[in-house]
Amino acid sequence: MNSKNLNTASVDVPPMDAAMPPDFQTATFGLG
Amino acid sequence: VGYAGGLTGDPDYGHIGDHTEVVQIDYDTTRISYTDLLEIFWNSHDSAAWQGARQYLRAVFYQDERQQSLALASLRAAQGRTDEPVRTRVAPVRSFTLAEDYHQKYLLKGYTELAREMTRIYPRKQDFVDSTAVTRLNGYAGGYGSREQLGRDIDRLGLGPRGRRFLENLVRGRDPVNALQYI
Repeated sequence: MNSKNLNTASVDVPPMDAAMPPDFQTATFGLG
Repeated sequence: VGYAGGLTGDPDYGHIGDHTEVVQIDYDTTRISYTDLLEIFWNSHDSAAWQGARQYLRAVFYQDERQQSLALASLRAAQGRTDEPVRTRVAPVRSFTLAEDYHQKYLLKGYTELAREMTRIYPRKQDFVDSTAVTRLNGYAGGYGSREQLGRDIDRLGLGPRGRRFLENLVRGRDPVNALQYI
């Protein structure tokens, strides 16, 4: 049984290591 | 969180080389823009502060020419708002290496009860790191987010009754006006 499928929080988007949705982009910051 | 901006291979916490500790965000451009993120970045640090070791640089690490152009414009705007020299940098990201597990969602891990609930939902470490719900909880654990925002989020975070109660008390408890109700 895959608990993730049963319980994944509904706020989540597909995991980023899968194909990133087309409207998504990446930003990177150094914060000190 | 991870290591970026440098040229040395395979950085880790003990051998960071010429990289910088960074936060990397995959964001939905239909909900927030790069310019919005830049504004949050400039408003959340002292751009005139002296820069120390490269490991702890304050910098925008751009991914492409478009981000470079927007980041440089935001740097010029930041300089226009102060008489002090802006020391925050704009630099190419070059690469990104995910930091070790114990650095990920660090603030949330200070709340064992909440972290345990999310680990049950996301037993795979990569899923835990990528989860928007875990990221949002990490923000609440760090003192961000209002009670109103939590009211909108609470049903969608995947928490059980104990986790919900804990988080609601945590966010409520740091509101000094509301905390009076508990005296």
